[in-house]
Amino acid sequence: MTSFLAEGSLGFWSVPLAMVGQALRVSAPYLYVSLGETLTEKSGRVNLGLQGTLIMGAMAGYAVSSRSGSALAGVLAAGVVGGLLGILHAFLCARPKVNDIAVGIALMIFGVGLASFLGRPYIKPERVPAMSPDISLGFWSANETVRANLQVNLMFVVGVALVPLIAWGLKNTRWGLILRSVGENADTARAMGYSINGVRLLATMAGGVLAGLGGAFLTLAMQGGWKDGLAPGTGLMAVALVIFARWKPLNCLWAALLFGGAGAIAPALQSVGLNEVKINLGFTQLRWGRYVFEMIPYLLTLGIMIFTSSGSRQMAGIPDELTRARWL
Amino acid sequence: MLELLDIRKRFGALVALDGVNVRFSPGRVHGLLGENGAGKSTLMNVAYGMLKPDGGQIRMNGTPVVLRSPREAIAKGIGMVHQHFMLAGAMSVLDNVLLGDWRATQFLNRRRAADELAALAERLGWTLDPLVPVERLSVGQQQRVEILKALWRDARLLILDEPTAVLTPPEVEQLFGAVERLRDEGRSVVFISHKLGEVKRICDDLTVLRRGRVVWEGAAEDVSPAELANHMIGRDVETVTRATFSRRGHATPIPDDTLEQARLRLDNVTAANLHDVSFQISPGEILGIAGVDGNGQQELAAVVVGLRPPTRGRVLWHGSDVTAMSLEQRRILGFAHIPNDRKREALVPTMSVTENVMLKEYRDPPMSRFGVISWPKAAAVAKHVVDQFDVRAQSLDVAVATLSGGNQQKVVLAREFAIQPRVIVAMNPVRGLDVAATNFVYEQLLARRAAGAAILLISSELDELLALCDRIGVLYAGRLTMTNFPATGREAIGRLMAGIDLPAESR
Amino acid sequence: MSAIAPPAMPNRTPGRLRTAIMSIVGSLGSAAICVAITVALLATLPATNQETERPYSYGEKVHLVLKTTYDRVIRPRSPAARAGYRNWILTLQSATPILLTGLAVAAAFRANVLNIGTQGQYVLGAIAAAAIGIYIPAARWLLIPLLLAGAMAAGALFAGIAATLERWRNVPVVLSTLLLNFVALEFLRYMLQGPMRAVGEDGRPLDPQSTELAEFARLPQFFSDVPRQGLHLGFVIAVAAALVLWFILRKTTFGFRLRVVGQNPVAARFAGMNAARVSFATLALSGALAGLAGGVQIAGTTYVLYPDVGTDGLGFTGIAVALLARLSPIGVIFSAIFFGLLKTAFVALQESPLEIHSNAAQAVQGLLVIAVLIVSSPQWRRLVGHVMRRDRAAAA
Repeated sequence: MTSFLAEGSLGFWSVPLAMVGQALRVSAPYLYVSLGETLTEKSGRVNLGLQGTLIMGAMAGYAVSSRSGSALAGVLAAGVVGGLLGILHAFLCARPKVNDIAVGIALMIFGVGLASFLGRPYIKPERVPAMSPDISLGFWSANETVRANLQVNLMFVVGVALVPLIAWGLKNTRWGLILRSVGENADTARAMGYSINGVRLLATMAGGVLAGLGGAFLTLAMQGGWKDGLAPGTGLMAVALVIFARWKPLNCLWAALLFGGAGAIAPALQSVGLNEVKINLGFTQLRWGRYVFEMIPYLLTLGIMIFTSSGSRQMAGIPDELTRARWL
Repeated sequence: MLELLDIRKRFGALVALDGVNVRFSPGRVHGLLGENGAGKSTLMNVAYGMLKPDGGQIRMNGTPVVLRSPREAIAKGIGMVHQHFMLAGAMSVLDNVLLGDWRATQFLNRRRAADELAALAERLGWTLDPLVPVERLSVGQQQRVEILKALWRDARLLILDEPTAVLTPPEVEQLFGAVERLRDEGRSVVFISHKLGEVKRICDDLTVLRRGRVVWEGAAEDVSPAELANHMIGRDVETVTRATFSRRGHATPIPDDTLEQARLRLDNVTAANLHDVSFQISPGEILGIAGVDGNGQQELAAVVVGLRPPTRGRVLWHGSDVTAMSLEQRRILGFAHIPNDRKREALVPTMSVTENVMLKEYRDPPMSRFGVISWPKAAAVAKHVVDQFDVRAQSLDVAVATLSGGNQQKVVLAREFAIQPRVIVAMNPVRGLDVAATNFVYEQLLARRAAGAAILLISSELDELLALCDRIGVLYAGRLTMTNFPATGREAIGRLMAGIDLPAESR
Repeated sequence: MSAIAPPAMPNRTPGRLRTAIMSIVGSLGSAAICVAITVALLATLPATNQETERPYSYGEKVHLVLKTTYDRVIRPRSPAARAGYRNWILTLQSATPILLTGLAVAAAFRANVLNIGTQGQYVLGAIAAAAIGIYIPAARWLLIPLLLAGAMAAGALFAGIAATLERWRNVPVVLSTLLLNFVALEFLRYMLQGPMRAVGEDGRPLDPQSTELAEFARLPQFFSDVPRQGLHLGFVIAVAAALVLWFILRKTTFGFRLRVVGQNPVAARFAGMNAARVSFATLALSGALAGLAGGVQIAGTTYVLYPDVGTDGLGFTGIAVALLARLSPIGVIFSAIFFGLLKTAFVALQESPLEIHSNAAQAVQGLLVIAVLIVSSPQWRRLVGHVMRRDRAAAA
């Protein structure tokens, strides 16, 4: 296999390769946001505002690192901003008769708008200091394309490392236990003497921090700059992926990779010369091009949801408090 | 070991606790008796740190303590098993137990904890798999998890809030065995109940509460159940006894051909959680269904009123098959339903009294015509029925949630009985109501019976059924066994509820 | 639902008028407070006077913000010009689509159907309207009704996918509507790239957008003859839709069912209502309103289908509009107009010496909704009630 790949021309293999490469390159924001949202939802809250958090994190990360000259400072700033937005969400939701979804949407609009407003001075073509070293996973191959495709950023590696850590922590630490119990049955946790709003505040804040870090990845590692309308829908999609991943951190990783990789289908197909699929219906000819391919990730997600759901049962793995509150 | 001195607590205008003094000693089982609303649960919530008292003092081994949260109470060796279990269903027994363990280190050693938990259970004579999700356990087993949870934290004082309400008689025996073992270990157990026989059996000391005051205290052996009942209820309120209600103004129905026609009949009904249930109720008769919650009661009610079609069998009324009829069609025939859970199933708490009254009739004139609602007419209808049932509300526009439990149930009765129902399905109709409201509901049911309605009364309170019903059947694991009540006595029915002594074919 | 406490049902007792007045005064009051906060915040931004090359003082900046807003937004612009009342026309024009998407969200959220796919339904409505307006050779008097009906049907059908998935497979509406937004966007791009792309006279494809709607397929407009400059019929339709939705929710048995299902689906079932069917119908109604928004936008404002329709976020803004109005259909009229005002105001502020960029408007929108969420919580109302009672007692 290696020798075959080393020959330079990869032929049709470049499609799956590009998808893997793309998955490794772009899945980090999905991963961070969906891990963060998993923490939040495990505590019985839904934060739909992570799109806003992500974008604010992206803007703050870029702004701070371009001012300070330190990529790390940018990443930290993004985390802090994300945490603050998480606290705001938790504070609003803690008031009686306030709907998580409503707060989330308000914060999403607020976050995206504020980032766009505050970030205006930073829409510059100049590069920020290289954020973190890229790590090559393609060292085993002599093929340039392969190696180029298998470059991953340190932040992605950290994100992947967080997956088992969070999964293990939820199961085997006291904090994880308390978090899950608050999301499963708030009355139980209350009777044990835990503060429901307090636990949810921490969980939403942690979710915000992770989403903010995902934002930093967007500007510092992926795009290399801040612009308006960056990553529209990435945060929202990541929130949806949590449902798709059935609230399991490990599934979040697969979902993020799958979703990131599926996004490469259209460009990859194009790169091997497959621009459109012609379907002859007799009376008319459909020419499905790039935009139809770009629907694939969303339709795929929906399709998997359809086939793994059941009309009679509630979703497996859903924290009970979410069902009780009828958010989902 | 724990003393509650001069405890006072008000909720708005309601005085829940009015200077209560209680002393719990180690190695004793202390019974706390009282009617619903007497203040038992409030007092225990104070002792458990869930409620802050307005006045009074809590002393532990002689030193005053302040319990700001359950956590502090737990830390001081107080454990509580709530009537509604505080368990996270999807989580394992072990997780549920560890959750309350404030001493556990941040990183849990699950394997060792699981072994220790199994050993603890064994000490009480129980076997439990610590890794099973709690939702797969029976109610009795879940209660054990609750007790283990408290003992895991080495509770010296264990509060059991109405522990036998959800148990079958044999499970009650096992619970009592465990309680005795705990007492012998030198722990003190608080046993909250309103069942006199049980309290008399298991408790060493007793305290009777009424309207937030201690009205009697002493050793269990010094008092007879009859005296206890007098203390609990007082002489000022009429009590629910067989003498007051039973068979008032009612002649036993004589089966003849016309009557046969007029009956409500279930023929071999099978549905989820129901197996081959058959019975009939004549007009002017109350059929009681006894059983521990979760043995098919919900499903039985649902089949009769039309919420759920049976997979097999028929529902007949007046000789015609109504099995395929919807809830609305049956309502036109005169079917009324008082569901089990008032706030969840019967009412929309956030909506007004008027809207709740019209919840089922909103499509009919005069409330609406051609799909358009006339609010003035709806309000007039609501006012009429609400006045009839003596609902106390500021106005008909306030949300039902602001009414007391008794008034909420009156709203339900007003809606359901306004149609002069011919068939009534009522499930635990007085759960959580005070004495006056309870009596009101019973009187209304008996009035409907006198007016010739066929009533199906499903209740987990056997005493209620014994007082009100003409005949009693027992539902166990979805199967109905009719008894020869009143020839069949209380104990025999209790055994049937536990699945003992069932006829061979229904096992 | 408990989105926000649903507005208390208006009293039918003598207190009704007072309650209504109180609620109007209350919302105007909170709007005024929000505006004041916004102005105060905007004035903190640094700005330099171009003539004196000195930074403006805080007071000057507040004055500038208010003056710009008044001149460019509130005051009728030069009545002599052909397009008199331009400011207000612009405001109402931008209020029109978000009024309709706001109604779509209000209807759905009232039934606790969390339709966050109004953006996608709006896009489908726009595509359908453009397709009918451009390709259907219908009679003139028939074309506009047909086009609007087509837009509604497209929105309803698109929402119907989510409704079907929920009924069939329990797929959460939040998830499916969210995903369908993206599908709608790609579908729009596909249509503009392929089947609906305008073609030049030489037969070569032009920019990725559709051809313009024929003149008789455009909504009639008032106050001006210049295309896109007048107030088009869409605004009237939107206000009428708000009144109709109010009537449905308040006065019809369907609306009653919808509200009961929204507040307590279990009790709805025990009362013999088919909660699943009500949710389904509500989602379709919601989709139809969002689709109508797309149709009105195409036939009234843009006259052409172009990619920005997919990313203008007017569907999403509807959620904010509805929440600001606390899900009341009549309230949505006002909150949509308020959002329209915001938009014109920020366009004006961008051109003022302060150079506040108009994308701050979105942040302010979010801030407003957050403020309303805080203000409408019972704690807050109790606090305000307490203060008011104390004042009254002090005055007496």
